[in-house]
Amino acid sequence: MPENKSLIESLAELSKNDPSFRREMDVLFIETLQEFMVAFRQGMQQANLDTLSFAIHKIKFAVQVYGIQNLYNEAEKGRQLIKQNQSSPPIIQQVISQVGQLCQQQINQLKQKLGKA
Amino acid sequence: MSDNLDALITKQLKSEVFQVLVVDDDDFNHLIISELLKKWNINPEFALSGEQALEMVHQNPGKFDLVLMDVYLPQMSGLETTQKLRTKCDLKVPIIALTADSMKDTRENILKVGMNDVMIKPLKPESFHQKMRHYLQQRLEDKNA
Repeated sequence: MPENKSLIESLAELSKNDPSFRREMDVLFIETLQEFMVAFRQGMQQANLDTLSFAIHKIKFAVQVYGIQNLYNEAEKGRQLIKQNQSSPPIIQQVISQVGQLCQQQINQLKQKLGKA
Repeated sequence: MSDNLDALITKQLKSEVFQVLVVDDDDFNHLIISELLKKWNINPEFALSGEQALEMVHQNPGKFDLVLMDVYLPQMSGLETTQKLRTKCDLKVPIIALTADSMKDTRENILKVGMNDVMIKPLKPESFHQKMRHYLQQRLEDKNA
């Protein structure tokens, strides 16, 4: 298995391109993103670093599998704002909205793909 | 290692029955790990928390050949769970940490509490399989000793 393959390609190869595996992975990723959005919003609004750290850590693996590192990076920026106490309600709302949009965009794409499958 | 020997060892390991316990609270990770373990014909058992892992090992001492442990678990962490598995349950089999944190301190803490190795997420199938083969082979030798 060449080193330069993405994890998603390697997994597809391992599963012998089994569509049910990919489908299950997509469904679980949608659930992961939905749960993350709730936890992230709550963590930002309550300035709860534990909630934020746990939520962000939990999506790290899945977003790497799907190659959407920017979502992780944006969420991490929000966590840093809370950690450094540099946030105001409008900034918090902006970060929540930005991260939410990235999640929703991914969810919509996957739902569309699942709908076509 | 020659390709022939490599293939022979893989074939031998695949023909054995290994029991693997995966301690992780995330369904997405369960799916990926299950898929990766299919290469070894392993159908893992899952514990969703450290407490559940302790219970499963306590109820079935000697059952598991290897444990894959998420470090960042809710309530009882993977580090604390490992310490308890080693001390209270006297579990001797390899415990391999699964973590998305590649910091040196994390690795040191993982090894300090009694885990044998660390795999960094996202898991790369080729390095995952190399490590699995190493520990399964070691386990087989221990069983046959």
